[in-house]
Amino acid sequence: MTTTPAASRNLPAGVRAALEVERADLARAVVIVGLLALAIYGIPEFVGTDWITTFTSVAIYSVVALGFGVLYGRVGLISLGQVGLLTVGVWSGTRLSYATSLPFPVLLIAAGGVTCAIGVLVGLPALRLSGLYLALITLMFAGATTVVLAVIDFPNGGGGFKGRFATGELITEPPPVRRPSWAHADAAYYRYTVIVCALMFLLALLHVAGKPGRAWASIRESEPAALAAGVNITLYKLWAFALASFMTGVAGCLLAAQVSTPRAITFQTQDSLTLAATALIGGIFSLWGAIVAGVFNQLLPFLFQAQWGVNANFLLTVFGAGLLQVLLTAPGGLIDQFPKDMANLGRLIARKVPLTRQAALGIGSILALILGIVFLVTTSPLLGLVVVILSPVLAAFAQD
Amino acid sequence: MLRRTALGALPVALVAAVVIAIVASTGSTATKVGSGTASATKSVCGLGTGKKATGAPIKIGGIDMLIPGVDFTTIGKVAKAYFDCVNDNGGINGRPIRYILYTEQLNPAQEASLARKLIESDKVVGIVGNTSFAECGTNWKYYKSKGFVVIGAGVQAECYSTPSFAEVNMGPRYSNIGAAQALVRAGVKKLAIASPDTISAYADGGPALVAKAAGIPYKIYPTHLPVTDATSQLIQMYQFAGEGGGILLDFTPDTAPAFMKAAIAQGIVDKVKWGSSTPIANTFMAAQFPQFDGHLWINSEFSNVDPSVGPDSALMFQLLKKYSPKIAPQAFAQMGFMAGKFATNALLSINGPITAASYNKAVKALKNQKTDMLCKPFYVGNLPFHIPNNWDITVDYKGGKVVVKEKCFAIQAVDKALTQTRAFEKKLKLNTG
Amino acid sequence: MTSVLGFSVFGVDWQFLKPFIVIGLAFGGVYALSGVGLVVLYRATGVLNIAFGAIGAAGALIAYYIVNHTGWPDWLAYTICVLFGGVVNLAYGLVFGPAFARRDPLVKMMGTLGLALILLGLMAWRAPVGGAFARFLPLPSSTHRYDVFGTSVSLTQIIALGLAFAITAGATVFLRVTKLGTAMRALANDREVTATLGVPVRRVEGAAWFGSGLACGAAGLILPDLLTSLDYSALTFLVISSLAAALIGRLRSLWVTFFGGLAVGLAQSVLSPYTTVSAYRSAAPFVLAIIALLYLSRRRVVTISRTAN
Repeated sequence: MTTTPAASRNLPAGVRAALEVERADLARAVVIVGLLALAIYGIPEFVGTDWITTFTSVAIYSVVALGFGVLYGRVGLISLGQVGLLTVGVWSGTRLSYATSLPFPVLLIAAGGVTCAIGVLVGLPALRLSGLYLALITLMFAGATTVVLAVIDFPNGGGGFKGRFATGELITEPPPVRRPSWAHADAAYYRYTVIVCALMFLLALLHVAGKPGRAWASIRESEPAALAAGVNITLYKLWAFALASFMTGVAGCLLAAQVSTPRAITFQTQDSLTLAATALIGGIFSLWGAIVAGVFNQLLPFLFQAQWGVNANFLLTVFGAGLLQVLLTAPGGLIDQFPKDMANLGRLIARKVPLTRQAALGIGSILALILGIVFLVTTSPLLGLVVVILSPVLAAFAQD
Repeated sequence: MLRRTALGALPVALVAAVVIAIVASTGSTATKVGSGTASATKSVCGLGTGKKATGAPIKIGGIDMLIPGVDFTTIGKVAKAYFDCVNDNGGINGRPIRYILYTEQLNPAQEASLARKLIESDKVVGIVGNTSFAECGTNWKYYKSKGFVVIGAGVQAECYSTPSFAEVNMGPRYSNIGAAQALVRAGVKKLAIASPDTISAYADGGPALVAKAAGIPYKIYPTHLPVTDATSQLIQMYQFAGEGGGILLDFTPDTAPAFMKAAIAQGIVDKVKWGSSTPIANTFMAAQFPQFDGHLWINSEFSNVDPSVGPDSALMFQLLKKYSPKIAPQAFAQMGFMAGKFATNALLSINGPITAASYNKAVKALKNQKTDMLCKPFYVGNLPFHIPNNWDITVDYKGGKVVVKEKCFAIQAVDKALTQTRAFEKKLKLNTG
Repeated sequence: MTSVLGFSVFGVDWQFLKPFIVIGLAFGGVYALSGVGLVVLYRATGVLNIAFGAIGAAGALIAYYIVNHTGWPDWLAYTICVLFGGVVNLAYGLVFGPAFARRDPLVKMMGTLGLALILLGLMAWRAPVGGAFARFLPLPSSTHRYDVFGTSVSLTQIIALGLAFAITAGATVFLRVTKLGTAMRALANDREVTATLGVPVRRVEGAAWFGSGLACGAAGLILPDLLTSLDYSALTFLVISSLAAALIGRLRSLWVTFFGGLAVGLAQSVLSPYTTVSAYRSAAPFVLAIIALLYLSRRRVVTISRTAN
C-alpha cells in the first residue's frame, strides 16, 4: 500500500481514472478482509500456542509501531519515547484491571485514555520543537518514565495509588491482569487482540484518509504554508499525539493482559530506540510497514531463539544494519523498497535495463541484509554478521 | 576486539575445536565421571552404570535469560552437563534425557511463547533450570494450568509465591534476610539496605522486617541500574548507619564493586559491618577485594564451592571438567547441578510411562533430597508455594578465597510465607529425613 | 541531625550536604566529558553521535582483553582503546558521512543509532557476561586519592573533569583559531557553500570524526574506571543521560555543555539525601534535559528542527 487512499483521491480526475481507483480500493479492501479472516480464523487452526502467543505480541507491537509511523510518517513528528508510552499503557491497564471490574473493552479505552492524556503532555513541546530536538525530548521522557516506574513498580493487586501489597503481605498467587471473559485461552485472546489491533489500524486509516490526514500532510510539507492555508497546527499536532498515544495505550493494556504479571524490569529505555529502529525498517509511510515492524520486533526473536537456536542478540546487529540500510536507500522502509528492489532485480536479470553501479549496489545492499540473516541462522555467526554489516556499507556507496 | 580479532581468532578456534574434539573423544573412554555405586561419600550421575543410554529420549526443557550484559544460561548449561553425565551412566533406565534450552531477552511476550513451545510443541515432560529476571511472573499461571512444577533458580517474588516453581536457591529476599540476621547477631545498631529499584520492594522488605523485629532503625535505598553515583549513595548510607552500623548490599558482581570501591576510597570499610546477598560470594570477587577480608557477612544460599565439601561438590567439579569445561565452578553451576540432579531423581522415581503428568507428579513427591550443597534436604511437595532452600551459611573473604563465617542457620521466619513453609515442612516431614 | 553551623538546606544540614557536592562535581565530570565529546562532533558534522557510548565500550573491551589476556603493556592497551574510538568513528564517517551529508540532523542521529546497535550486537556476541563474573578496567590513576572537604576524590575523577575542561578549551581554541577549525565551523553552517569555496570537505570532516572518535575512546577508557565495572550494555546506553549536558549546551556551546554536565552530576548527587526524591534522582539528567529543551523552545512560533549555528 504505497499510495494511501488520501493520496489516490488527489490523483488527477477523470471518470476512468476514478473508477480504476475505486476498483483498486475495492480489491485492496477484499484482500485486507481476506487476510484478516485468515489471521483470525486460519492461523489458530494451523499453529501451536507458542506461535499464537508470538503473533499476539506481533499484533500488539505493530500497533506501537503504527503510532510511531503515524507521528513520523504522516506528520513528520518523531517520538523516541513510544515504549515509554507503552509502559504507561501497561501500568494503567494493570492498575485499572485490579481496581475495577470494568468490562475489558472499557479497560482498553480507559488505559488508552490515560496514555493519551500523558502523550498529549509529552506532545506539547512538539508544538515548538521538531526533528532532532523533538526526538531527544521524547527520548528523555522515556528515560524518566523508566526511572519512575522502576521505583513505583507495577501493581500486584494491592491497594493505594500504586496498587501494591505491602511486602510480605502477599504470600501466594499474585492475581493476574484480567483478560476478556470470553478470551481467556491463548487462541481466543489472540483473536481478540487481532480484532482490537485491526480496529486501531482502521482508526489510523480513517484519520489518514480524512481531514486530519490532509492537515497532517500539509504540516509535514511546510508548517508556514500550512499555517497560511489556515490549518490549525496546534490542534492537529496534538491530535496526532493523542491518536498515537491512545493506540499505544490500548496496545499497552492488551500487553498487560497477555503477560498477566507485568514487571518494571522488562521495560528499558533502550527498547524505545529498538522500536524506532524496527519501525523505520518496516516503513513509516505505510500501515503495512507497521506490521513488518511488529514482525521484526517480536517474531524474529522467537524464530531465532525457539526455531533456529541462534543467539537472538545478533538481532541487535541486524536491526542496526537494517536501520542504516533503510535510512540510506529506502525512506519508505522495507515494505516500500523490497518490492521495488525485487522488480529492479527482475528487470536486470531480464536485461531490460542496463546495470548501473547504483542499482547494483542498492540491490546488493538489501540482498546482503537478507543473505546475512540466512548465514547467521544456517552457517556461522561470523559470516552472517560480516554480510549483515556489508549491507549498509553497500547502501552508503550506492548513494554517490 | 570485534571484527578484526574475531577474524584472527577463527583459525585458532578451529584448531582448538579439533583438539578439544580429539581430547573429548579419547577422554570419554579414559575417564568415567559419575559412575559406580552411590554412598555417603560418593555421588553418581543417575544410575551410575557407566553405560551409554540408547533408548528413546526423554525431553526436558529450560528457559534462561540472555541479554547484553547478563547471561543466565550457565544454569541451563550445567543442568545439561548433568543430564549428559546421566546419559553416559545408564540414563533413565536406559533412556537418555534430551535437554532443550531456550534463551529469552527479558521480554515477557517471548517468555510466554517459549514456555508454550516447550510444553505444547516440543512436548517436554518437565522444565528444569529456568532463570530469568521476569519469567516466573509471566509463566507461573500457564505452568500451573498445565500442572508443571519448574525446578530452577529464581529472582523475583513470583518464583516463591506460586505453586509453579521449586527453586534450588532462595532468591534475594531470603538471602537478604539471612544477611540482615548475621549483621544483627554481629551487633549492628542501625541498618542501611540497598538493592536494585526494580526488585527493591520485594528484596529489601525482608531485611527490613528483621531489623524491625530486632528493634533496630533501618532505611531502604532503592538503586537505579546502571549505578552512576555509587559514592553519594554510599556516603548517605554511611551517614545513616553510623560507625559500627550495618550496610546491606544486594547486587551482582558488576554492580556491587561500585559500592565496594567507593567504600575503600572513602575509608569506611572497617567502620561499618557489610552484609550482602549471595551473588558476591565467589572467589572472583574475593580476589578483587582483599580489603574486605573479615568485614563481610555474606549470606550464601549454597555450601562453599569446594570439592572437599562433600560428594556432590566433588562430582560437580569432575562433571564440569568433562562435560562443560568452559564453565568455572561457581554458585550458578551449583544451581544447574542441583536442578539437574533433582530432576533426574524425580525421573528415576517414576514407575510406568514417563509423561508430563507422571514426571510432574514425581517432582511434587520429591522430599528429603540430600545434597552437600544445601544446609537442609531439598523438597518440592504439593504446596501452594515453595521455599525449600531456607537454611543458610554466612561467608566472608580471606586471602582471595571465600571462607565460612557462620554455619547453617535458619532464615528468620519474619514473613507469613516462611512461617507457613516451616509449618508445611514439619507437618509433611519434607526435609527432616 | 543537629546543625553544626545552624544552617540547613531544605532540612538537610549543610555539613551533611558538603560531601555530596564534591562527589557530584567529580561525577559531573562523566557527563561533562561525554557531553563535550558529543557537541564537538555535532558542531563539525551535524551528527549527534549516539553511538558514542557503544564505541567507547567496544574500545574498553579491547583494552580489557589486552590487559588481561596478553602480555602487552597496559599503556599500549589504553592507547589502542583511544585509537580504536578514532578509527571506528573515522571509518563510519568516511563510509556514511557523505551519504548522510544532505540529510536532516535527525536522520544523521538515527544513523548512529544503527552503528550503536551493530556494535552492541557484536559485543553481546564476543563478550558475554555470565555468573560470578564482571569486567574491571581500573586505571593506575584510581589509586591516587585526594581529600576534599572530608570526601575522598580519585585522580581519575579529577582527570575526567580536567579532560572535559581541556577538550572544551582546546576545541574552542581550535575551532576559532586554526584553519581546519574554521573550515569545520564553515561546514557546520553550510556544506555546499563551503565545498564551493574550495575547502576539502571530506578531509575536514574526516578530521572531525577522528578527533571526536578519540574523545569516544578516551571516555570509554575513563568511564569503566569511574563506574567501577566495564558493563558494555550500561556504557552503550549511558549516552542517553549524557545527552542532557549536551542539550543544556543547546548542542552548540562547549562551555555551557561543560557546566551543564557538572550541574547534572551535582543535581543527581545532591538529591540523594532528600528522602522523598532520593529514589528518583536517576531521572535528574532526563528532567534537566527536558527543562533545557523547553527553555530552548520558549519563544518559537513555528517549529525549529535544527540550530542555526
